[in-house]
Amino acid sequence: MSKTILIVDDSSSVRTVVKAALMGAGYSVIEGVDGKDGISKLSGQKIHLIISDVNMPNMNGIEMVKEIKQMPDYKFTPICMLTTESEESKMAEGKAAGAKAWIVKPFQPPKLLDAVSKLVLP
Amino acid sequence: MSEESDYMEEGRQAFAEEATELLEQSESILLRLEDEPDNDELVNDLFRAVHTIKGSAGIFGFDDVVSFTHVAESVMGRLRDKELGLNDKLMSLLLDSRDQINDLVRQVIDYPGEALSDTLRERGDGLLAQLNLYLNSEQPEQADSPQATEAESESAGEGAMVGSDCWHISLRFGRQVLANGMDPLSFFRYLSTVGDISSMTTLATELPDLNSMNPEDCYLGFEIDLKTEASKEVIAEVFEFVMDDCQLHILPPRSKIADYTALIDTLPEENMAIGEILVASGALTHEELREALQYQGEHTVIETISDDDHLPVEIVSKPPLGEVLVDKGMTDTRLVDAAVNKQIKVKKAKQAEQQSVRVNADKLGDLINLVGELVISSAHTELKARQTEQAELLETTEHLTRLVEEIRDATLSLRMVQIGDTFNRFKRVVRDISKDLSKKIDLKISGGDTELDKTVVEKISDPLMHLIRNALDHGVEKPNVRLAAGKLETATVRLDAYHDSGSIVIEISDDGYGLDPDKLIAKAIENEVISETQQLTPAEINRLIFAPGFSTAEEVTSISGRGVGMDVVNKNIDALRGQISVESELGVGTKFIIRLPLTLAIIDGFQVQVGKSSYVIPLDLVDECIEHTNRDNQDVKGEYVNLRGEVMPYLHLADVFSEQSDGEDVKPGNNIVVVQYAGQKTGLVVDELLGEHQTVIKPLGQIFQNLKGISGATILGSGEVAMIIDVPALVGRVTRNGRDTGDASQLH
Amino acid sequence: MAIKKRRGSSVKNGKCKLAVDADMSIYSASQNHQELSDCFDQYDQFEIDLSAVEEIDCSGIQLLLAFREGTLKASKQVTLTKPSDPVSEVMEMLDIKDRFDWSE
Repeated sequence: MSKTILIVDDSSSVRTVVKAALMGAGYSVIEGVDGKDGISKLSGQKIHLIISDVNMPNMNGIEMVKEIKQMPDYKFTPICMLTTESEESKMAEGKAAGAKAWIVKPFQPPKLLDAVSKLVLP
Repeated sequence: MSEESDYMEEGRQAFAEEATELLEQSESILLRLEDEPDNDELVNDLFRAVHTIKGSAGIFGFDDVVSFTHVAESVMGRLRDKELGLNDKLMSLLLDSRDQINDLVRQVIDYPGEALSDTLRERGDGLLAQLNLYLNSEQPEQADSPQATEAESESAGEGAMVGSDCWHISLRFGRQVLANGMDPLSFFRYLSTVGDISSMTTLATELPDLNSMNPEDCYLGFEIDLKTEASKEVIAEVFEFVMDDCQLHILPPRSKIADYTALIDTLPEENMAIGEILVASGALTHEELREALQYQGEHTVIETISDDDHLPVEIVSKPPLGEVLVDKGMTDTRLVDAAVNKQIKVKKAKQAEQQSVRVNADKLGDLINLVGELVISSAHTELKARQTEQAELLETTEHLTRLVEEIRDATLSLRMVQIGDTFNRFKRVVRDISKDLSKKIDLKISGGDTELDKTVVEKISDPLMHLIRNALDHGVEKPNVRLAAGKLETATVRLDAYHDSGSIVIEISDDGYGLDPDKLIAKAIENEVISETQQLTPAEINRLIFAPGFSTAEEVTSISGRGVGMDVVNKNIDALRGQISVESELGVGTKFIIRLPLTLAIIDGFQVQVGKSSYVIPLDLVDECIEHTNRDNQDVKGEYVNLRGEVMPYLHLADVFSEQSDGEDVKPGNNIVVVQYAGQKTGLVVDELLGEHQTVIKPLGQIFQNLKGISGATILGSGEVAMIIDVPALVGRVTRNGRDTGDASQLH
Repeated sequence: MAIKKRRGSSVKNGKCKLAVDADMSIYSASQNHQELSDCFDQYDQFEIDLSAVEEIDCSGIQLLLAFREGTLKASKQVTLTKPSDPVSEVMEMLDIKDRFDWSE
């Protein structure tokens, strides 16, 4: 039974790269285009990991994390933020909100898989 | 985040200081070893110093420092174990390695996160290749990989390391880790892709009762042995997402027992039994421990031990378990001792910490400033008390003044350091330069334990270096020249320090060429420092070398003569309120004599009245006070009094500072204060003697920089400002005046 | 319900057979903890069937460890039985299989 990962990012190119890398490694992937959409994709499914961008329209990554941490069925799901070097304060904010893992952009797929497999093996 | 990085930054600074200190220590040890190659203690100290640098560098992840230092340490380890002998070549290599470590440390501190420069890396590689030759005598083919070197150094070492060839990872997770969505198991699964987990001990000592536990908190700790070729960095990165949320310790394969002791000391389990410690440290397996306990024949141990909990305390405190383990050949005596002595060691470490406290220099500076203010305030109080003429109040204030004096002395002594460390640094300079110049030079040091103010020590270092280099370069001859001149082949350069009437005297002398008066004069005339007709005393001729832009070196060499002349040395020493003089005899040698004040901040002063103003004369320089009776030759330029049969020149301070006597309540020029500086006695004529007075020196502003005869100002108890008399300058003036009148008395 | 009492459990003879369902992860930790604590007070002998467990993490492991520790202190007994593959994998990885009594 493969593990399911939700990737939330408003950039379709990022989602595409991440999805390709993850599926190639044997994970199941579902996508969300912003915070709101990401939360709506959670409904009812078992999710093993959430990967999310920080800056997004409608609902940004930090707000989404805060909301997820209130949802009984998802509050313990590991969350990994996609950050850039310049967003260090955002990263701290994300950590405080409960997203303890991070991947610094730009990243190569192996680096992504490395970080993901520390949290969930396929 | 920022708090953490501040903390790390502070740590890095501490590391930089510690490493600098240890590296200086290493250098002086190496140089001492050249004279005492059989001194085992020195070799031990050397090893320990370098080992400590490696250890601390590891904590901060300075891998470049660690990897190089490790190999150098290994060679030193073999030296300590007498598997290597010390010769000239190895000595040079170790000195160069020390320099390399020094540069690596500078690099990681000054340019954090940047790659090594090519030169540094290449030099490192060259040195490593040479160092490895000293390690490779047994297993040359393995020397390339650091892992092999590690193993090698261990086998070459004291054998006091655990048998395990695994990395040891010690983990204690924070309570929140599960709630944060981080499952330790997922990190272990990932870890098993990095290496082979050969043993895993799950610690549940922190786990509370079923009823009182919070099932969403994490209470577990883990001790893991991992077999891998991966680096420490890679292993640490496995846990990067829980780094904020756990305590992580990583020990490399075949770590020293001391490293395990350190780990034992840092583990949080307070009542952790010895058996558990050994198991947790990876030194013993569960099986071995179980067997040992059964052998001891006490209760149903297996259950108890395997639960990692509530091992009866008696077992811990009784020596038998340790003995049992050792008897059965299961563990190293020293490791058992390490565990048993956990508490003792911790206590000892604490004691050692108390012996010396590191204080920020700025804080010390603030304290000294405050004590300065206290001194002024106390003087003021005493003055006011005296005016009241109340005996009791006077008594208390006098007591207070005494205490303040003690506080002042104690505070100033905090900043006093021995000059020996500075001197020892020159050993290396002499060694290197004499090789470059193919001269044979012996550096003799005395008075290294002489103490002076740290700021003075720091500022005197450069001028001293210049003088030493000059002595090496221009002062002493090449061996063949020396032999031809009937001297010993090996030249001697001496560095001496001693106290002399409130000053520190540092002498730099050599037994080389000596200064050639004819050459000096010719050069001075050529550079228009003097005119052709000018007549100079021998002392003045020698002083010519301090004239700006003056150099007698025939050619500019790489060692000295870099355009920074003796005039700069002179200026630097002036700035410290010091003086430099030179004595020399052609063909015999040259001696530079530097006099420095003990401290820059507070002095005992002798307060005098001249006209309407108060002046302070540094008490250390005051010899005696006499009444000024003989005023017969008052209008003759260049005045002398007969001081018990000795002719002594004197000066009217009123003339020097253009003071108008008010002539009413004081008799002008009534007293002579006899001051002595650099062997020269001089009288200073003053109106009134006001007595001793603690003087906090306030530097004069830029405008007054060129004021002759004044070295600073101070604030008196009354709030009045008094000038501090620059005795050396005045003494110098008197001797010059003496020469102008053609009198030769000052030569005696 | 995450942990079910099985047939054969009775307060009278003090024996309690329990079966954990699919989840022993942090999501079920509170509920599992509650149920185990409740049973613990009522019985003296426990058998926990782990055959249905699909997911187990550190929270599940430490719950089992705490339960066993409790039985030791209270002179009660617990045996585990029929570990599922995920349970066996974790027990082996953490090297804690020996800390429990197992029954067929």
